[in-house]
Amino acid sequence: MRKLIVPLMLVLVAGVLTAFVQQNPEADRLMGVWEPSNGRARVKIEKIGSKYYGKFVWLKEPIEPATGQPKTDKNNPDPSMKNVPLKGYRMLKDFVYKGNNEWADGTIYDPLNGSTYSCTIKMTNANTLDIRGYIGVSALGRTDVWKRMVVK
Amino acid sequence: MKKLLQIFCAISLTAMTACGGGGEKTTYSLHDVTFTLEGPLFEGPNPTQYTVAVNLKDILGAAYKDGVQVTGATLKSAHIRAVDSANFDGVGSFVVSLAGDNPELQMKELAFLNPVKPGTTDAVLSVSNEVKAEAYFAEKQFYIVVDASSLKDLESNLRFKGDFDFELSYK
Repeated sequence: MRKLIVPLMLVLVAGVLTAFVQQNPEADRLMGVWEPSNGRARVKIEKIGSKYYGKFVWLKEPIEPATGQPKTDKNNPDPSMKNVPLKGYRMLKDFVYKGNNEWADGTIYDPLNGSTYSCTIKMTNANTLDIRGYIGVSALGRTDVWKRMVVK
Repeated sequence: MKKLLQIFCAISLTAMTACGGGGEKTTYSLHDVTFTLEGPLFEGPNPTQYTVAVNLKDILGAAYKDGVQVTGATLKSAHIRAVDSANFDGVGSFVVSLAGDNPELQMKELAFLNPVKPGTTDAVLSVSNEVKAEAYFAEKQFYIVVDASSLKDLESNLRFKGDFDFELSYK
């Protein structure tokens, strides 16, 4: 009987841990629609697996003036991917919740120059994020303040 | 002696060509993968995902041996086919990405179709020439994420099937 109980307990613990990873209310507070300080876009942050991703869901200027067509990721360093639509593009990728209102290990993409930077996110209150993009070390970077679109 | 050297060089060249310099190659096909976007769908990008369980024994079949590793992986083709509806009218674009739970693993976009022409029932996506996906095959599982961008709000579900062919190198 004891031989059966130990494996069952392990399975139960593994199940609880998996559920915790998949649904973590503290970490999931990041999800929602956010607006950068320049007001030129809105970014929806969602969860895929255990990580968080943010994509453009609204652009102030969605049309490319030169073509009259919806904007694409024309500065993508991969030439074969320059026609991917900018609306829907995931500019925040792979964020992991570290506790203490901070998400890290992610990247932020600037479609204006096609560059990707390391990034950390700090939630300063339920409706405000400090988004810090940097190269190499966090001290060499810039912080932008994002506001939640639907205020909680 | 010179002839021996010539024979040695010829054999070496043949072996390098067959192995591609990075081991053996095979095609890993994921066909008839069903994706469902549950309505109502709002205008704009809507994501859906499929979890791929990586089992090299199944992928490599008889070629599998202990310690084998996937050393190269590129997506060679991606198709998305309509299921319930006759076509993809109402969908503006498709983007296919890979993602994983490992913090070291970064999401990568690797195929897209933009725009989706009216009347399309079988969308043949453009595939990135540069994205390397071998790191995903070192995981227990990864996600194929498909973003379907709706041109307008849709009340109903959107279901489609995907066919994906990867070229894998292994040794």
